[in-house]
Amino acid sequence: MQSFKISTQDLRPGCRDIQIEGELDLAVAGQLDEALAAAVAEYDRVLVGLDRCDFIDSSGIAVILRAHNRMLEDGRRLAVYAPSDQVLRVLSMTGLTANGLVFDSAEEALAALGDPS
Amino acid sequence: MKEHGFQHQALIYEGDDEYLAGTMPLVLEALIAGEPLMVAVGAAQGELIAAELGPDAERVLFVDMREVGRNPAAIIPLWREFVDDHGGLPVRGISEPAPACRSRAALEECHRHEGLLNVAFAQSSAWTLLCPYDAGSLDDALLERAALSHSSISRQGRTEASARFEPDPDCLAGNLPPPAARPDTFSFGLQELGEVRHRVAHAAEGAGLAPRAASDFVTAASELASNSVMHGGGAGRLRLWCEGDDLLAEVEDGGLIDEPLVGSLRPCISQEGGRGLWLANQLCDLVQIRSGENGTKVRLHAPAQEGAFV
Repeated sequence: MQSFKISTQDLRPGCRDIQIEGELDLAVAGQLDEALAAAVAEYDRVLVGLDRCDFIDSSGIAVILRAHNRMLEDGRRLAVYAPSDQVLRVLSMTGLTANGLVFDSAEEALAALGDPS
Repeated sequence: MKEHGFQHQALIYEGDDEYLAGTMPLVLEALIAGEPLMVAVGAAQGELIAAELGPDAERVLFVDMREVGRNPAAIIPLWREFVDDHGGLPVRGISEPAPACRSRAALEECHRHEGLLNVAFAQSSAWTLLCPYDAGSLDDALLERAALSHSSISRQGRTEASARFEPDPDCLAGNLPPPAARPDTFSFGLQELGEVRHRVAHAAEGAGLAPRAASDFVTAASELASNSVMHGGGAGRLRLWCEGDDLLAEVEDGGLIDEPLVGSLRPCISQEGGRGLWLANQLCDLVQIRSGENGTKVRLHAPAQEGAFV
């Protein structure tokens, strides 16, 4: 089984990028929840990079939505980008693509989210 | 007499003439009253009604039940959306989910979802759904069961209230038939979810599923396994086997599902959890859920032939 890894970087002031590698399931969703909670506490824009995420389940969707809903409450934004085939399928079936949360690249996501107000 | 709430009617028909004689009164009443009408039936039946209507067919929303209703669990969201789209105004529908070409397991689930419609729309605004059953091809036992899930039955021009109607059935009760072949069995906990996916992927490859169907099947099975870990006592048992051309995966645990509509309600974006069985139903054409005091079993079916009906 592929190991799961999270790496973080600041794309620009106020904007956190969280990259996920491996299979995001219930066993590791808590790790992403922590990384997202830390980012939500400090940043106005949070991006979740999924290009090296091979698998996502509904518990992964749940932690992403929890962070998204918390940020939306005070006008901040979260987006995910570059999903692989399986990940895109799950995102679309759970309504995330229809709600404008999913982008092809970090650049597109940043352009769409706009600057922190 | 003014009718209240959800009216769930069955029509037992044989041949095109009886089909039209049974369905057209509802179609015409809806058009005369200006009520929205959706006809979700097989393509051939839809064409019959459309031909009878002529230009008025444009006022009817036709959907091909063999496309949208591939998974019987899609029936409730389909009608939920249609009713909600019209904001509580009276609507009418024709719903024919059970063509005889489907497997025994699929017909069983069609019946259970007919019962679940009564649960789903128990508190609904007034609307009427007519469900035609083809007596020419379905067996008698199945037609008998239509009397349990529908409040009235029409046959050969006579409409009667169903004395056996069950407005609030336990649609998760009962057992699944034992596997037709000796299953490959694997017990798992939180740390074995990856191994569950690995085993299901291996079985899907062995059964000859196309790559996308295999990936969907793995995702659906993984959802069932994480449900066992989260809600079923922290662990579960996976069984994998083939029946004819179908690959089956079943996950069993000690939990109890108390929401019969689980997996049949479209989750909204503000809701964080509760997507597992919904997702399994989107990824798989047949998901059988049984739950009671002895635990929960969820069985997935995938046809090895791409596009084939389960």
